[in-house]
Amino acid sequence: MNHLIFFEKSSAKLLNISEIIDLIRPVSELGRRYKHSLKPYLPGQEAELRSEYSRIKILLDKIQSDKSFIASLTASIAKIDNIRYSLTKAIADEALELQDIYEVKHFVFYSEKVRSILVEKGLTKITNLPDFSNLFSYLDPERQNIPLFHISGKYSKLLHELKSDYSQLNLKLESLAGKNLERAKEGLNLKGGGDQIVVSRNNKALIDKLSDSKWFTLSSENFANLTFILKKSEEELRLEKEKSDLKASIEEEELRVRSEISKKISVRAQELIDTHSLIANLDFLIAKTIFAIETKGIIPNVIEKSGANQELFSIVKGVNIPVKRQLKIKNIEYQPIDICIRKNINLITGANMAGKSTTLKTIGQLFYLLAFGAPLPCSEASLPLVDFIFLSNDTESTNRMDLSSFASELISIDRAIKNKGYGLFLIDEFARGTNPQEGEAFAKATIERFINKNALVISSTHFTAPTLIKEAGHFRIKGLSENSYETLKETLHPQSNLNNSGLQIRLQELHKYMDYRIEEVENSTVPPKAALMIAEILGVEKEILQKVKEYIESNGNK
Amino acid sequence: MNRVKLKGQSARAKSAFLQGLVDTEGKIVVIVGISKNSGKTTLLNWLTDKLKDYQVGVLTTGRDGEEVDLVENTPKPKVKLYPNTLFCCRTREIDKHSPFLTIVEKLPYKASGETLWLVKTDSTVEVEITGPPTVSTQIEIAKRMAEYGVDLVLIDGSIDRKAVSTSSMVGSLVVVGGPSFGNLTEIEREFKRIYNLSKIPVIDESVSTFQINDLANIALLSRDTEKRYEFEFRTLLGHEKQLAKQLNELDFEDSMLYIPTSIMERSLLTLRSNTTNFDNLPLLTKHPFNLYLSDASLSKLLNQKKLFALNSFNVSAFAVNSFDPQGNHLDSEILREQLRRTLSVPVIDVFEAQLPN
Repeated sequence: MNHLIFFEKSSAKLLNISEIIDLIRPVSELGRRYKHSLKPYLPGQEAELRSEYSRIKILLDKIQSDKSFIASLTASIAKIDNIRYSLTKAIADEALELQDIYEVKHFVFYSEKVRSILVEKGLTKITNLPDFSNLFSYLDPERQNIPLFHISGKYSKLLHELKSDYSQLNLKLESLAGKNLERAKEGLNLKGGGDQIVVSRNNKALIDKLSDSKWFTLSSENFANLTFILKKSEEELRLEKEKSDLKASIEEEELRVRSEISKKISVRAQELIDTHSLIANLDFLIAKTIFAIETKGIIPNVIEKSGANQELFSIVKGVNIPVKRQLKIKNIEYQPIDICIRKNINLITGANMAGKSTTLKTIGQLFYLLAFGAPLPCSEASLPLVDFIFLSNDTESTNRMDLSSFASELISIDRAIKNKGYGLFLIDEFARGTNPQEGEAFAKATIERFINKNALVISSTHFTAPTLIKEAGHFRIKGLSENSYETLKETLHPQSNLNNSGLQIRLQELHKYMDYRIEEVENSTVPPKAALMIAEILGVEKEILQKVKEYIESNGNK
Repeated sequence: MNRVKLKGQSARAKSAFLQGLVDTEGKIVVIVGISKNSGKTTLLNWLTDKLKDYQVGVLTTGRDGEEVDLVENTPKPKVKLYPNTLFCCRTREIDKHSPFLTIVEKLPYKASGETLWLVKTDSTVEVEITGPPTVSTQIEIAKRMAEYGVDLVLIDGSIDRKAVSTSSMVGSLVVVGGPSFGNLTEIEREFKRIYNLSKIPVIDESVSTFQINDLANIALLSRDTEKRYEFEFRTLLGHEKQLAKQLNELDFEDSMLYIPTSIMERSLLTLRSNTTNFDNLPLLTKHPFNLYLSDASLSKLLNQKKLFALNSFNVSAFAVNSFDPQGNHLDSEILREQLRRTLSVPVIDVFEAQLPN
């Protein structure tokens, strides 16, 4: 899930995309890489996207009726590693090393586990993994049914015999060495001691005894001690030579066996490589399904781009996940948004703090999730695919220190308009960073540029002029009703307990009375002017509020 | 259940020591050296040989069994492992011994950027073992070995306040030392210091260790009411006078001073000389290895019963090695006999042999 769908990288940050996609958690490294490298679905790929959503739907339905299998399924997927390197070696006819073959067996073991769960639960429609049971049997000749691996004697009678001889030889050597040591100790009447004895120079008796013995020989000495080692018998030396030759034969035969195993693996290597993608895709699919469960998300209706005055997109109870989570921490109830868009150009007006920016961001997040085939956190949605998402912002869009916020926003939107393809333009209070008169003119003129453009525009504004564009749809966030305002004023009255409360409580009260619902209004409806009301509720100094009131009144009288 | 048996009268002490290792609670024993080239690998090889009848897991906290010491360029012994031993190594070690190994697991840990593997020996091999750098992963691998059914995990570790030897999962330590540390007096003093540290009593259960473990800073803890006063500093070093001043303003009757970080001799002296009735205030350390005190100070605190620890450790034996790669060898007999006279835990010399009296 890269950010290429955004016209500007900074939009991902402004939309809190990371916080949302972090909730989609593949369990394997393959799945995680897949998630990060995934490209968005673009217009023209609606059929593929619907197919992806139908796979999620199948899994979602299955989990809702029987969730017992999901833990074992994800546990097996989590064990699957990327073994492409080993498989490439096998394809190139190289003899795989022991650890390469172990990795193939381990991969096949868990791939088979995943396949068996999918078969048992009737989920092969979502992913149909190849059957590697024969390969696993071959790599598990001792029928242990575990992913451990060693070059078993079952692969080669010769290897089995050589290794058996080698073990016998080791035992014989250990036994001979043990007997030799015991004989030496008995012969010398020694207490303790192994095949190496360190004796103090002051212990003349022991030094003499060891020096004169036929069993020990002096191996080294220093000013403090002498070190004696047990002499090896003729038989031991002969067996050691035999062991060394045997080891070389074992290594030779083991290499032959590894080459043979590698050839067997190479026959299925390409299928195994392909299975990586299937596992990664399945892992991501499960992660998206779990995301749907955790966020109460739905499978949207993917629609084609429609003509004028038809429904272009609609969202019912759309949730901005980061905002909802923040509000939950503050114990504030989140109000989801409903919106139905029929025109290419749309304006959203509303009081300050009414949630215009959050609405734009929520729309942006939902279009992003759609582009990656993720379930959407809402109760219904019909959305089209777009080529890119543009989010205007007067601070971070161009990331240039030499531009003012207004200039930066202006250049950024100019570039985006010239971009090819069907774009979703989310324009948040364009031109608020310049003088209101010119800003209003710029806002209107800029919105008008989209009239004959292949684009979907949602723009929030406090200006009146843009709302007069007849081609534009006009939506208003209800905000504070007169009644709510009066109640709030009463709650925050000087004599009330809440009057001296901090900003946090004032905000909580404001959220309680604010109506975030969006309603469609006539084009010419003047945007609400509620800044004074909001400032009052937020507890701004009375002197300032009084002066603002006086100024508004005197200006109104002019 | 197998019993460890060594033949001969002088071997009985070693047998008891080995049996003690096999019976270790938690199945994890750490071999620690008091200095570099103290002879840990030699002891490890002796142990794997003597414990052949058991399934042993072998782990190191760095590298062990390399042909020469990478720092000092001195020859080093390979680690000899018998059939059915679990160990942890790098990929190149598997390549060298592949006909004689079973790969059990590719571990999710690395050492110096290289993948680590959990491997079982099918035959006797002489190998280089490698382990992960952090204590938590070392313990994790040891626990995995135990889950695979080994009777005992031997970790070639180090003695340090941040090393695996301080983990509460470790059942006991075998401390190895020799002339690479210093002369006989210095070795004896260090062994005694470690022994004394192992005797620091663990705080009794009336004080909630769970809550204390959460404390990052130095704190005054009340024994009866579990009230606590947390100071604003984590380390004692540089804060001795400030701490003394604050202690003088507090009533610390029936309290103890918890210090989660190192306690140096000089800090303790400054604290003592600036705090009224300091000798009546018991000290609580997180782990005995946090203490860097003189023998006299340590003995005094222990005798006064004014020193406690949150965690403790058990020393099952001291092992000696008279050889020093730098040439400062010690008389093997004097070394072990002197230590046996002064220490009340077994002193092992794997190269020892005696004639009857």
